[in-house]
Amino acid sequence: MGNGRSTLSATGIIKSVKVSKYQSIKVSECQSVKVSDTLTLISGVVMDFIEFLNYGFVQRAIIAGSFTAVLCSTLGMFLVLRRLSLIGDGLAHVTFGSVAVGLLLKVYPVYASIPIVLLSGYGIMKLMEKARVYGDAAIGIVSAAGIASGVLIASVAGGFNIDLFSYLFGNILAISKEEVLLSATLSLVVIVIIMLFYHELLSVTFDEDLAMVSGIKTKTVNTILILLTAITVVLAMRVVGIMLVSALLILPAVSAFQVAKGFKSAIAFSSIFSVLSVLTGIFVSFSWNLPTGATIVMLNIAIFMSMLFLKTFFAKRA
Amino acid sequence: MPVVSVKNLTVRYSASDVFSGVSFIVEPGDYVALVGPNGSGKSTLIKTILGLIGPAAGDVFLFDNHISRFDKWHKISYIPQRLTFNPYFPATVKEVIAMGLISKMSFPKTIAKSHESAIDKVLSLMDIADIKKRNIGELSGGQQQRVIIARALINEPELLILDEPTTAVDPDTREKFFHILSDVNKKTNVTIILVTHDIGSAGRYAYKLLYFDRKIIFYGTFKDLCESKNMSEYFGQWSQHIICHRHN
Repeated sequence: MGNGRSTLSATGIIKSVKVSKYQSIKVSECQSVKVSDTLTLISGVVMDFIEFLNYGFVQRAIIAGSFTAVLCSTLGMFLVLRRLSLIGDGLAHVTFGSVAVGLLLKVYPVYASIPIVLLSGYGIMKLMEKARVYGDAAIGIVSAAGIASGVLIASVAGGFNIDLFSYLFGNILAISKEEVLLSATLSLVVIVIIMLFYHELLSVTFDEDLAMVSGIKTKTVNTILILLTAITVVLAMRVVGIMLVSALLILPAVSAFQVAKGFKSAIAFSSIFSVLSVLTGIFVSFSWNLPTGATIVMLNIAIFMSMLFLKTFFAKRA
Repeated sequence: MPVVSVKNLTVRYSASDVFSGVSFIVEPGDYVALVGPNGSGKSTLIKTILGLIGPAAGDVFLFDNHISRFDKWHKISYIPQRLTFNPYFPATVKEVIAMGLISKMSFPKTIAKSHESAIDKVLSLMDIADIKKRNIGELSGGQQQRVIIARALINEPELLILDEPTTAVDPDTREKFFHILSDVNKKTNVTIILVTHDIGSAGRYAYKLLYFDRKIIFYGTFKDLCESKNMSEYFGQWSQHIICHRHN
């Protein structure tokens, strides 16, 4: 299971595999750039990449990361269009509290987080429905409760700040076999549910009143959407960390909106951008010894900027 | 069997009533213009009939079923006053129109070949076949409205409720749309409730008028309008005479 120690050991591995050959090429590059040097550089990168793929923790990161990426990008499409983007952020903050509960009770934090975050998602819905609290305020209340409880538990219990820190900023390279299995299973369950309720989700996302008059039980669809988001947030916190989960929900979707024609095409673009950013992020962060979660998010921002530029460029030419 | 039956309906926002004790019946094949000034509660009345707003008191029956138990939504299409979808919504025109078929699809919902031909038919009816692959967010307000009208018509509904459907479209499209509605009403006997604040043009299309201003001022045919004492008191005799003259 992933914990603070495994996080530290993964970082250690990254440091130890820094390729000296790679650095020496950079020095020779300064003296004179020759074709042979360039070829050696490329072959060095390729060798690095092959070597990189041989590590078990990298393989686990790629599998869990890809599943989570597809999940986040698909669900993010519905959340962003419904102006519910911040629900991902709010529920991610709840995971801070739930991870602390897990560490305190010595229960695997992901297992502790799933029921707590599901309940919190349901709580946000009920606050909006029954207490007549606006969506953003409801998210704020639950989010603050999550963070505050996490800080209090960490302060009272003490001794697990490093573990908590690893969840805060994520460490996909420290993912265990059990986590990969859990991530893949839950991702498949969520994706199948999205496929089964695709038309309902699309209609409710487009216009809730029109969906109701089409006989869709909009409250049920909203509940399904928020509960699926809760599961997704828990899975994504290991990939990019609690602080950056919402980025994985929002950025691939808004990048896809710039170039996609049609909803299914937008889901495809969003998934491609998301998986691409996660895989490239793992490789880049591994090679340059950077934090993986932050690297993935910055790559997503780069993709978004590129798509925005492409859209503007082609709009001007048209 | 009435298509819509409203009994002693009261809707309340906060502590005050929007309207109370409203009762009326809409029969099959009726074409009713629901007219009233801004803020008269027309849209609220329509939303309550459709179950989008819960009443404080009273009952709504659709096709003889109480609204709380009503499940034959394929019989109804609705065009709202305002569209709330995100302006960057990436669905194509075809995808949006297909959403109108959802009440006819069985679980798990998929678009059948018969649905494809229905989509093509309604696209050409509304003259929007050339934009079927474009995203709805890229279209002008008028084009978007045509798409929403197409989405409502594809369902071949028995009751069509339209809440000021032509506010964003040009006069030509408005005329064409009302001709289509009249045509559909005559050929298929679809019941239509058209919400508008324009009493002047309502009588050109509808057979009946329901004049509503937080209560029913008048409900009957346009011919009966001239004899209505309520309308005479509400508008004054001179204004009533002008409205009658325009419609008879």
